[in-house]
Amino acid sequence: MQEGAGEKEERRFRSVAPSPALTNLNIGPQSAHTCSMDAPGPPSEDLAIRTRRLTKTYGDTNVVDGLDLVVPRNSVFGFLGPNGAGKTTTMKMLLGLIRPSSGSGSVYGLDIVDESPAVRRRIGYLPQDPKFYGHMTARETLRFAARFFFIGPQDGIDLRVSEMLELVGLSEKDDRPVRTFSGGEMQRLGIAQAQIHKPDLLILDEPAAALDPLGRRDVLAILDRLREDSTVFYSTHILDDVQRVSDAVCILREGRVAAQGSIAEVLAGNENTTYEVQAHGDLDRAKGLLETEAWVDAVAIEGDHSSGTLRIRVSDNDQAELHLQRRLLADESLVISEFKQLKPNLEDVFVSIVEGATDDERD
Amino acid sequence: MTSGIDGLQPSMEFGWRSGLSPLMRAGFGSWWTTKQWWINALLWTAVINGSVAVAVWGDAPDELDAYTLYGVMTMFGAIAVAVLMQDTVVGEKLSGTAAWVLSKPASRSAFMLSKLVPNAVGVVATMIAIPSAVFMVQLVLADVGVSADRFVLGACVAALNLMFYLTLTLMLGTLFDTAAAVIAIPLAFAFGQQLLGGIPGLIPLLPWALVVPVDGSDTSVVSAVMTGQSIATPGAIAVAAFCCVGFTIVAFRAWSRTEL
Repeated sequence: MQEGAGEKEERRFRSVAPSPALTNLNIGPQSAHTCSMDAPGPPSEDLAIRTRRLTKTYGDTNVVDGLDLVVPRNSVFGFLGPNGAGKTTTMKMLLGLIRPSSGSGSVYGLDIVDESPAVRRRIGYLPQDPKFYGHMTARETLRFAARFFFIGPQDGIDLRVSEMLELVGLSEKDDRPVRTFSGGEMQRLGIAQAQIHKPDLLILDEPAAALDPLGRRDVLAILDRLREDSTVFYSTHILDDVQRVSDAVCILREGRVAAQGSIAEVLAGNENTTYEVQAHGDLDRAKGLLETEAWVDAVAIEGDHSSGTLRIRVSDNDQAELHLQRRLLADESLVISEFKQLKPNLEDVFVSIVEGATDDERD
Repeated sequence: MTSGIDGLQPSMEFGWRSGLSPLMRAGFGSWWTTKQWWINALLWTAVINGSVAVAVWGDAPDELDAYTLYGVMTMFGAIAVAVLMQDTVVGEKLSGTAAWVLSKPASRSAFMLSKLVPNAVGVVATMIAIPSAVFMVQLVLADVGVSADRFVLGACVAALNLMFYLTLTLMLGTLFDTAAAVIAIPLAFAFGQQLLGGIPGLIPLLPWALVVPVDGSDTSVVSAVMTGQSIATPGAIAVAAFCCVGFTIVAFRAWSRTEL
């Protein structure tokens, strides 16, 4: 795990191509943007995490509602959703800290309720707001965490502790009581203790939340390195990070899966594609004509109404690919200087899903 | 990438013992590797022995008064136990350290044992054993005849009173999510027992009677045991012991169902 600072700086993030593990699984486009209640798939032991209709109810509220989660082994899996979507509750159910109201779940084929201690032997967990015993130093905290997994020899445990302190850049603060640590240092220590036993699965609840940009960059680099040995299941609100380091994502909305699959699949499943057309001419007339088309969702003009940019959001991209250019070129008053389809990013998809839910509620 | 886990021997604690060793080590460490033990030991040695010194070394030395005063002063220790213990479970629930610890392969029983045993040992050692040893030295120096057996037995009764409040506070910590409730109930009970004197036959059964003379008696259970007199309120011992066991069982059961 040790790596020099220079090497850390030079490391580049992996591209977002789906991992082989992911492409071998039956979680293709049919599962993206769906909320399958009884999703088929590979056997649970081929997966890091598998939940079936996992539900947690408090009073009349389903905080997690029939969740079918499929997390491939050795993937970096982003678990996304607005505040209150059920991310932390789901993680705590996987860890046995909260008992599911119904449904089931497994981690590496082990039942999360009946085999919880065995599950926890294979998991490293970073809580959302990590808190440790204030009277212990960073080194003592890591020793304490290590002793849940190893009985010795002491030299070996100390070596592992030193490696982890080095990994997260806390070697020079190892003898400071944890109560004196800043939020960022606590987060780093949290990552170190989660990784102390080299777990098969790391569950990280917003690992970069309390970090400055440099700290965040380091955490992403650590996640990238960890994928070699572990599956990383993490939640975050920083969607740009997710797109950079994750193989797959699940977007939760009100406790349900709103989208799930590889990054490419989730992006491809975005129903609202946007085109950007730079043109001269009567842009108002072009806008009016396009808005009569059933496959056009919205048209906006940016800039001057005789020379500017048309932003066209379409609800059916197949129809748009067939007809959009023809419609624009048919208008002889329009001179088109640039035509491009905007590639959606994860943030667009996320906003579209979350705002879609809000719109549905209004309707 | 190197890995320091090669060659490490995996822990073989399973079932209810899972995680017991590191949790116990941390629990005892919170007493004995911090200043907590000597602060408490100094404080209670001074409080208890300062008070009894008046009876032992005063103008009219009175053996019975010294033992009675010793019992009464340990009652303040019982209140301190409730104060010390109020945050033990609730604090960990609210801060998230309990969730962190239990995300490791640690059983809920091991977690509770690590709160019960190290705190019980720490409290008894610093609030009863050390101050009592100094008290005994005072008695010997003052030429008061002391039976070591009876003295130890009496100190055990005082310790039982502390255990009543320790297990009560521990149980309340598993049942409530605010420290206010966890501290208020034991304190209200500790002081409110005097008000229950109006209910016939009740007060001799309460833990109060272990350390404070009640119902017109000259002796508490502690002073009666230490001086070899007959115990006027033996029911208090049984009730306190029964409550300690009951509180502990409820605490373990409640904790096993607590969501973190």
